[in-house]
Amino acid sequence: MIPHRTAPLGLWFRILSVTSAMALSFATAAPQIRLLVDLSERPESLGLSAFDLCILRVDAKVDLEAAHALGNKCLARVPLFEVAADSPAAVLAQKLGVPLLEGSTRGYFRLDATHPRWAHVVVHELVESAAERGFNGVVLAGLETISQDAERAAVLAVLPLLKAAYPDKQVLLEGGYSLLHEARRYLDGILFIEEKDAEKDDLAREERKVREATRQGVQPYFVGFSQPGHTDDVTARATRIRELGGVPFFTTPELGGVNLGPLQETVRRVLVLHSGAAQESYTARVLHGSLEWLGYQIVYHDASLETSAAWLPEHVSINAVILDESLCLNAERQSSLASLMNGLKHENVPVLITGQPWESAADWTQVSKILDLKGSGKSVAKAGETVLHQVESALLMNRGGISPRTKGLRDVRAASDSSQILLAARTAGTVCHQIFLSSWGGFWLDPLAVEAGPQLDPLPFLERFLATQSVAPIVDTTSLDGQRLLITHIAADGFAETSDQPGLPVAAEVMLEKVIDRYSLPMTVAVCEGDVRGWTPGLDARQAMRLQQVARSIFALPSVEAASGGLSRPTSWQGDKPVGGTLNPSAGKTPLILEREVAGSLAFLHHQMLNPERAMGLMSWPQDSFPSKEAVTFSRDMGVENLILQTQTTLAGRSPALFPRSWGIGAQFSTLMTRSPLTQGTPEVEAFISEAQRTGQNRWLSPVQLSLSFQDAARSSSLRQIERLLDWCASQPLQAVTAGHYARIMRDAARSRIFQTGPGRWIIVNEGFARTLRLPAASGVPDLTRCTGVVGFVRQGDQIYIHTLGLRRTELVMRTEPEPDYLRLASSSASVRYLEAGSRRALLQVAHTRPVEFAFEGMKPGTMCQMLANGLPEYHMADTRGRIEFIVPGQSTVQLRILPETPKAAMR
Amino acid sequence: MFKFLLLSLLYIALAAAWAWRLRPAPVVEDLRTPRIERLTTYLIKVPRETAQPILMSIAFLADDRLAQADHWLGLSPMQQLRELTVRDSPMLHNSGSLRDALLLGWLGQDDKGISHAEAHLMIAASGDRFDDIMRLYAYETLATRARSQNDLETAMDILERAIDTPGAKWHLTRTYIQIARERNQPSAALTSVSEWLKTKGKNATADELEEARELQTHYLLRLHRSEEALSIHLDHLSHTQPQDPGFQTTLNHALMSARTCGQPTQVLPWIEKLLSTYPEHKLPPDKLLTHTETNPEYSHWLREYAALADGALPQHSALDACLRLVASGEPSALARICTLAEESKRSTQAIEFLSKALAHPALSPTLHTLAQSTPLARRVVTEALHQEPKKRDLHFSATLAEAAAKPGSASSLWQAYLKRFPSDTAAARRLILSHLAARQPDRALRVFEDLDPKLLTEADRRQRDLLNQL
Repeated sequence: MIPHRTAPLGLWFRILSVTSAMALSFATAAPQIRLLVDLSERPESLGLSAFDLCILRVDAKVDLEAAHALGNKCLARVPLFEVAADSPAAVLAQKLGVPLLEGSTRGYFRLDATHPRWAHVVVHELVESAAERGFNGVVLAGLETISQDAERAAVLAVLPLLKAAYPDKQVLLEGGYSLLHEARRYLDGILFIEEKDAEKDDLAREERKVREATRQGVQPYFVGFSQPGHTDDVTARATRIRELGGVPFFTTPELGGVNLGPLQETVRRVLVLHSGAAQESYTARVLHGSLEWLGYQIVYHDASLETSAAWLPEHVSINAVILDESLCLNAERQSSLASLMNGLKHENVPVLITGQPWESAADWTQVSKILDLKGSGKSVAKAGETVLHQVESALLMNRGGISPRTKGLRDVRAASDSSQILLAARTAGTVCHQIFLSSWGGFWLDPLAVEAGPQLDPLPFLERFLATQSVAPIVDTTSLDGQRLLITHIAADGFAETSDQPGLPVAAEVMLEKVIDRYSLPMTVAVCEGDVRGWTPGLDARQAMRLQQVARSIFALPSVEAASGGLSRPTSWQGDKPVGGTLNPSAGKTPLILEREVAGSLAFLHHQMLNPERAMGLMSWPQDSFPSKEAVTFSRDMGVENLILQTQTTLAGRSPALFPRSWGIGAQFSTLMTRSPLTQGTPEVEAFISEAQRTGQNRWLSPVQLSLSFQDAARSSSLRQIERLLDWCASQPLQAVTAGHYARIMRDAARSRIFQTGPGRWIIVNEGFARTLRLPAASGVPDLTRCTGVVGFVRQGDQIYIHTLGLRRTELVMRTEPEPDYLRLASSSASVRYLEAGSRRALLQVAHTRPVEFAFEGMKPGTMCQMLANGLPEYHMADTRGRIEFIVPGQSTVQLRILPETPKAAMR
Repeated sequence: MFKFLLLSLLYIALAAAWAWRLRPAPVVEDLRTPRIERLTTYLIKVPRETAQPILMSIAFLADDRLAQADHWLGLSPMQQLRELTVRDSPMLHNSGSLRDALLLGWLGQDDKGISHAEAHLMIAASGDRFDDIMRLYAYETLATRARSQNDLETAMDILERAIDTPGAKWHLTRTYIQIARERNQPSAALTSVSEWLKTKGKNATADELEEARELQTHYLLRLHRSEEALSIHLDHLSHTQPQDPGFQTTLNHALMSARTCGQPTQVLPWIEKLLSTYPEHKLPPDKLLTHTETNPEYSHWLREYAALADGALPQHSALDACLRLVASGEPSALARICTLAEESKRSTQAIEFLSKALAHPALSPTLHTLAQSTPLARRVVTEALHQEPKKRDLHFSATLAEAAAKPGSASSLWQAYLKRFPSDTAAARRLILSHLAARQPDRALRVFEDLDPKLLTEADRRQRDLLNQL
């Protein structure tokens, strides 16, 4: 991983080594308190879930209830002396006559602690406000400023008062070592924070304080400082603090919640250096989908911009760097990039080169020396007779023959013997290595991959490229409860088109009758406000009532999730300005602006088309119109997910690389769906099914994404194709979810944080929407008795998919073999909500539009199970694999119980 | 002694008389100016258009009335309103427009401490103290405030009373309906709009009437009372003529209602009546096909007629309607013609018509596409091909149809076509596509090489280069 640090050329890099993280020794298996100190204004709520004890600002904007639900404790850091000028404490102090002295910071007063009523302010205002907010205790801060014995005495006097007033709250001191001996009876702990530029002697002194606190019977907590790039000594220091009886936490001096240990966070992030629009870059179109499947967050950085002096954004740690084919730099930046290669190589950060950004011979010479390459690096001008020189057949993307691609062929060869040459061509006696892996990373030169599909499969290639990274669970977004996901989305296009069905109904009416109502699958349907108001060019406002009636009928169906297709279908966006959207004269002077396009359409559809108890779930952006960051952020602020629809553009007959399924980070996160055209004839259906089978045959590489539009229902021929597709989907073991549900899973997976607590042990924190974890099958199986929040697992190909309860914190512990006789969920065709999960019983609920198929495993063969679905009993006997399967109605409460073995008569 | 006492008393009385006589003259305070200032400050919040006359009038208020008004200003808002509405306050006896001015001022103040529900009841109970215009203004203001505070129930109560007040305008009913919709009370909205139509519909403007009827239809359909909606609209239709301005709107509502309640035949005669007013309707379908300037209104109603006829009327009538619709230039009914012609055994007539339609620029592409999936359309194309064997479009369409029917033979079919018309790049692209679908990029490239480079588009060249690399 690369954080910032000064490089010889003035570039900042900080390197975190994941391999070193792997080497961390997990000192003891006994449960240890996990401490977090985050004094930022808005601590990340997800981050708190992983820690048992969190120390936060008293005025931190945070959901404490979520932390309490997990049994975590949150303490408020309360400064005892300094208060804000307009704070209630200052007002109370003034009222009580406590003198307000000049504070150390502007806008702050220092309370005169020697005044007899100061204790009242502390107990009844400062600490009370923390208690009222729901904190489990307080950390009394500011003790290092005590300068007189009277203040010291006042603090010692206030402690018993606090204990008496709040007996259930913990009281800790921050610093105040000199008070320890006298105050120990009233303290639950003492927090030591390392000095910012501490020397060795200072550290030794802090350790002595920790030891002394332990000796005095007060639990010491220790906050040490480190930098993201220099955490090598954290483990040793943490072990030392633990040996002294302390609870350690390492962070940056800003105390902003950055966790540097001892709890190790698994970070998977790849930096892509590119030029131009990120979504048009080579990586986005060829490698993004595979990296996403591998659990990586992909950070795009336009390195050619004048504003991007640094090679990567600040405070971002990364595991690998990709130099995109689009990268186009000026001479100075090219030299700088060449020097960067040296730094990356030394820090063991793998680099993948998908183009050749160095034009100058000097730069290339430097790079080839660093990366141990041969050749001029230049394009092979006129590739004459070109033949394949070497190919790794196991990685071939398409079955059958492979011919050499000469476009973008460069005179590059890996010189090292340890390099793995995966694809090489020979032309005019010169061998050009197109795809290879080396100790420093690798080359992937296949410029035609975007249009003609890659020659080698990027997924196994990237797995090898990133093989040095530690094994950790990946939050899976392709399956749920042991079944691959099916996402069905109907885009708004063609809503009002006249169909060729009897009675010439509009396409929406046909879609409602023949698809939505008939198949009753959870699906998302988008409606464009312009269409249903008759404002879209070509439509008649007189049809509005009829069209709105259809939209209402569609949205009234329980299986349908309502989505907005916007107002005017803009074709592109410039910041917050929609471009290219049109309405007919009936729309009058309706402004075509972001707010009207997003908030206006959502509000119209919500108020006019939806039953009051339902809500809009999604903003479905028009096909191939990539919304701007501003548009996505605004839509997210409206409380709906974003779905971007794209069209598949790979040449017919060629297998494409995995498509990206998400885009953007944080508030700009969107879910992507790729649509394959259906209207060109039967082969498209076959191609869709074949692609769906290819991506689900061994591993589940992507969910089955059925992206339709109302236009598909306008013609009988395309309607028949939809029916064929849906019939196929219905015959497959898939769990159908709406696009909104899928988008929530995608967002949650992207935000999930994973912490390693020991070998084969992890803590996973997220919002609970992404409920499936994935690990290589070789990692073993979950130890269900020791896991928290895990209810089952299923093996698919070389991966194991682990089903969780969807708690904010899941604790995963692996073992080599499954426990015998432990009831576990293998698969379900609908999303499961567990009410109770045990080794011999389970109580769960499902709510679906179709009957739900269940499979449970883990029982001894021949075991009898009683299953009650909505109170109706059934009995099932476990087969030879210890598995039972049953079907329950769509809306069911299911109780499952392993019956005790019948006592056998003793042999006499 | 008695005399002495009497004398003393007289002297005291005399001293008192002189003291009273010589007392300093009382200082007369100027209370009028601050009172007027206070009243002006209060009344400045009346609506702008009434501010000037009101402020002018208070300058002439008598001192005692001014004092009473000043005292009134010191009361709590609800007490103030009580004085204006239900109490017989001396301040307002024969006071001219003072009552109205004070009420307008009261309505212009912050609504702190005001119960909108109670206030509107007081105004309702004010009897003839206020005229209807004032009362309506007060109701509207109170309802707007209640709505802005999200007190929709009170807002609806106030508006309900306002709507019943003589002189209430349509916009009050519309606001009431909006609130009812926000509160998910469609029945209340329907009752309100129906009542308005019954009592005030006759004097309403055409726009108001149209909006009200649309809302009425909307709520009747939403409350699953489509039959009632249909009967209302049919009743309206029976009182109007096709040439009347609101006829088409009413017919549209009737159509919507008929569709919802499954009684399309009820509106068919009315659509026929309307269609008969257009000169295009007198033309037979084959003549209409060549008619150049078809009225879009006619096309619209013809489409609705054909849609209803297809299903509600016997097949031959439905076919006639579809033939006419297609003849007006609407291609969506071509598929229905093919189906209905076979079902009603009028294939010959349909083929004859479709053969002519094949020459129509707006219909020909759809018909060619249809030939891929519909036997009748395919027959039309094949017959046309027999008659004009050298016509490339027809050959193309026939090949397209055959290729769709036999996807496995698509390559050979397009090769055969290209032998006949070697320079047809569209066909060459189809052939390339079929080769690519069959995973034969080499063959696809060969097709490109055989094509005249001048005919290649940028996309073709790009694809050729791409194939060259594979």
